[in-house]
Amino acid sequence: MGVLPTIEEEFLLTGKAKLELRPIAFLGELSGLAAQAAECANEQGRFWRFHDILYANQGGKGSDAFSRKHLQRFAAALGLDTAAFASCLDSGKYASMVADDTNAAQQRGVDSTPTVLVNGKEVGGSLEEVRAAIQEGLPPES
Amino acid sequence: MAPKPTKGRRKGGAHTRWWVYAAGAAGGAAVLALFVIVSGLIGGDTKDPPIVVPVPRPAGLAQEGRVLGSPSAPVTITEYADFQ
Repeated sequence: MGVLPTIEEEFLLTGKAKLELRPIAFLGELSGLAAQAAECANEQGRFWRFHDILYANQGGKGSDAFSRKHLQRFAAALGLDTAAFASCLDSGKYASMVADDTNAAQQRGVDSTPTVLVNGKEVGGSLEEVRAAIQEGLPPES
Repeated sequence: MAPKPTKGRRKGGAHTRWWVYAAGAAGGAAVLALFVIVSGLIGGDTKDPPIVVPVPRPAGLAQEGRVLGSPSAPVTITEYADFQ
């Protein structure tokens, strides 16, 4: 998350790069629940707003910051349809998707987060490394 | 004829006022403590941490599902992230 604001400003806002986020759950049950909640927010077109509020209210491993109750509070704070959000989250409809994404990431060799790939190639997580990889991937005229 | 006030009596009066102030302060502290305890018992929701709501991203930045930025951008950054 630390490098994201700079990457956004330099490369996303300028149309040079796009960022695809793949939420995975390495750190326990509430990681998975938070990832499912982001997908439920996505149903209402608020994936990135929910992404941002999750990061802004992290409690660390073992905390209850992403309990069902708090996820519901986040949805309300963002003005989501809380009934639809609760119904989505309670249904568990995205649980298998998050589990599949997590398994796929592990099979790919992802064993820590955040793991960043640029055009499919894993790079270090520092701003300088990500920036260099993006610039290397840009067509010559950019 | 009333006896003349003495130094000793004046000292006694100040002594009494000191105890009045002390008793008042103790009573105030007791009321405050009771208020805090009762608030904690009946105000469960007040224990919830305040929610930090980040400012929205610029309107010019495309957002489509899990993808941030122009779909036609030449470079694709993929981030695997655990929200916790």
